[in-house]
Amino acid sequence: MVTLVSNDNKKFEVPKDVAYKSVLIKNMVEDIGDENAEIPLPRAQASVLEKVIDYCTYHKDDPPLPAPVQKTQDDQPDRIRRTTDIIEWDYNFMNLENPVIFEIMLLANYLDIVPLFELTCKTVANKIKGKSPEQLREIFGIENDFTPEQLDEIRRENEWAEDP
Amino acid sequence: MDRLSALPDELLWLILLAHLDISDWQTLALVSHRFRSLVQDPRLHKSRRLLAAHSLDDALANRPSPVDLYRRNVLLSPNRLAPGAEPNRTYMLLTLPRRQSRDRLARALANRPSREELCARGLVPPASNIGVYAAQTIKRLERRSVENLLASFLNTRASSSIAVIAIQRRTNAEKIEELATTDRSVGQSSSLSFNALRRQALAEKNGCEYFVRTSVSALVSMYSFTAALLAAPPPPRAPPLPPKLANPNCNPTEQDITQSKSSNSTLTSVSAIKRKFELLAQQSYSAPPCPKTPQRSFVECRKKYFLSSDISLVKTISRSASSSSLSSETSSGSCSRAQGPVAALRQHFISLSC
Repeated sequence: MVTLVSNDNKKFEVPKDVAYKSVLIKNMVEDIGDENAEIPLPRAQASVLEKVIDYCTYHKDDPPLPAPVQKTQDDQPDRIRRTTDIIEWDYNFMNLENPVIFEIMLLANYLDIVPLFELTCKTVANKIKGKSPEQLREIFGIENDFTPEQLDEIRRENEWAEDP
Repeated sequence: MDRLSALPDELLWLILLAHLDISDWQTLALVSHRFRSLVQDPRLHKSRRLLAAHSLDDALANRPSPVDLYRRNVLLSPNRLAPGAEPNRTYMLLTLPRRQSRDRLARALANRPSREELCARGLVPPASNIGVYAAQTIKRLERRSVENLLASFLNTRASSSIAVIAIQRRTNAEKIEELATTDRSVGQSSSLSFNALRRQALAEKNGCEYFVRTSVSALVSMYSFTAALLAAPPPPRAPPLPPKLANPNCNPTEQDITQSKSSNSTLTSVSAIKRKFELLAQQSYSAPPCPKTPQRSFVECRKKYFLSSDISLVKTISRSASSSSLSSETSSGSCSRAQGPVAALRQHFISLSC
């Protein structure tokens, strides 16, 4: 068992295979050499860490993601990104408020849990797709700092890429 | 962390935006300045191109053969896409070449160098000089062309058009030389000014040809009309003049002078001259004597116009008329007065027939 400590000193006893879904925790445990040692996570809130542990528990038996394709030195490793290949459990798991999704995204990035990070990105991307600028501002609480003249100018610049 | 804009750029947004399409990027560019700068990040576009290349490699490696697509009615032939029943596919088929051309053109326009860069490379003269100079030259050319055209038109009307055309051509040649010298003095080969010059010369050439055509056609029509007049038969001659008067100048005689002097009145002299003219006219234009025809009697004249058959017919008519008149005379005395001329006519016809 691996003990994870959140920023509010709440401790979570996690099985090793579940904790090792995080590359950060795996490296820390291996660096310490003591599997029973407590791992402090000062950037993780208890509620968010609990959600992450739930995800890792459900996906503990998933095979690791395939190694990224790297053709040349300049190429960045990447995979084909599709926002539609989300299983039902993940879809229900991500049925959360936007701030919680953003916190899970940040924590997944911090703990280096790639599948969870990809899932949060796909979820947010699905929320963005097909929306108008006004709807996006309303959904994500973004202030409009454009003047009408600037908006017209941007629309003229992007006119060539619009559908006829 | 309750806002999407609170996420860090380099870690999250570039990965998150990689899951979106280009149309969603355009939408995000209209949300705020920050998203616009993120959408325009070259790393994002490079990542997008690499991703598309990888996916295209996979797709091309696993794509079905043209024969399979032909069997599935996707291809009309192994080289042509079938319209299909779906309107989206037909629309894509119809608009794909145009969109490809538009994308190609947009990319070429986006990649063309700026005017400042061209100026720095010496391919284009500085915008400030060439713009002002070209505008002034074109305006001066237009004004002068209008003046020349008007002058040539007026000169054509006033005098021979050939001389005007020669002047016009000379003016054009001078103008061409002048513009060539000004271009050389500027030191820049401006295609704009040469094009304007060419257009100007063509316009003036057309104007000259117009005036040539109009003046020549006017001359041709005038000469043809004159030739037709000369070739036509001479007009009928006027009637002969009356014989010369004894006093053609109407000089007053000594008697008239004395009369006028004695009367000492203008009216009197005028009336005397008038009388003199009337006398002269009567002497000169006396009516020709009518030939004297023998006076024939009315009976002879009438006999001339009646034939024998007509005479017999008239006889029967007159008899019937006399019998009816006799019966009517017996019936009333008033009618005898009315039948008086009829009876006289009957007697007259009877005498004619005899």
